[in-house]
Amino acid sequence: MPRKRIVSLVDEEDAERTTATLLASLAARLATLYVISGADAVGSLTAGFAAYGREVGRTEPGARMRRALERSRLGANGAAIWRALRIDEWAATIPPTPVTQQLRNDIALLMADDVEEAIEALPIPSQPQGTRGLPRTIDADFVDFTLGLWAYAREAAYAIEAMTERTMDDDEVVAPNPKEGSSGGSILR
Amino acid sequence: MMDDTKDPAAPFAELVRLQMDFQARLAEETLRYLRKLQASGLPMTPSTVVRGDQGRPPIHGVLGGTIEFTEEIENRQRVHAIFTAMLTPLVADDGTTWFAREDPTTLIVPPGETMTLSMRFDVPAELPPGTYRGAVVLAGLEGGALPAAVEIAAPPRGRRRRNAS
Repeated sequence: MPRKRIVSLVDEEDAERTTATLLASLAARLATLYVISGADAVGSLTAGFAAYGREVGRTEPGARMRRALERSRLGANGAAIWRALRIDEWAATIPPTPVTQQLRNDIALLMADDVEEAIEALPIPSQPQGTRGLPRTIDADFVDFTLGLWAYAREAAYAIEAMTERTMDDDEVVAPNPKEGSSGGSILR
Repeated sequence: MMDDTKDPAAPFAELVRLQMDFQARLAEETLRYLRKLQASGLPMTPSTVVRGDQGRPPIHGVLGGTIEFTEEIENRQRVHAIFTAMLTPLVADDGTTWFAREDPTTLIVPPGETMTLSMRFDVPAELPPGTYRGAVVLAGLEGGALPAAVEIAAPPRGRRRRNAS
């Protein structure tokens, strides 16, 4: 009988994903907003979406979407605006935010069953990025950015739907409760 | 038109231009470096690493049929792991590239549990037989490219190929 192959999802060395560390990372991210400029924050997010888009663009659905974007008016106009406003140069100087990983961590935090305990343990120190060396910058173009946003939005929508699946109403018809009485046919209740 | 070679200031003008270019580039690179330094002080985002067997036997498919790529994914982390799997284009030895149509598949694996990642895609009837290689990418995860190979056999003699719809 062939051995069953299993792929494992594990923690990075020295950086465990636990409810406490995810909460600490989120709190530290929010605290950081007080010490960086809005331009740096938005630029880093822009570069982050572009970095994810570049990775997704190597896959079949990503490449298909990329070709469609490049042929469309959206791609042409977006690229023109991107160049004219020098967004590419701006985003290329700022290290990208790991937008996908932050989304996944936030979803994991929302799904955890020990959030209250972790909140009680606050403040929890968060590890700085510097321990892993200087982050890389990337050339951020418009199509990469849009592709990253598309893939990010798909994953966010899927996760939100999955989290609310069990509590979602699926009644198509809601009958009035007879105990509450009639509304009397007036719109002024 | 003015001849630059006769202008005694021309070498200095060129020197000044070079200096200006150098200073502009230096300022840009310094700013980039300072931004990197600033980013190194930002909080780290814990992430997920993919570990597992890299060697996989090819999946066998027939022209006009459907093939399925399955992989058991175990979450060894203490919180939910979320990922989106996408297939790369598959390339044969002769360079034929097969863009197998498959929408991205997202999975949320609870801590300590194992789930099956399943991706099904159609084999075009006009695809040249051969072994096609590519990867299933768990986008955004370190080490998240799982090699995938699909072997498409030549149709038996006398059997007509089904037309792609």
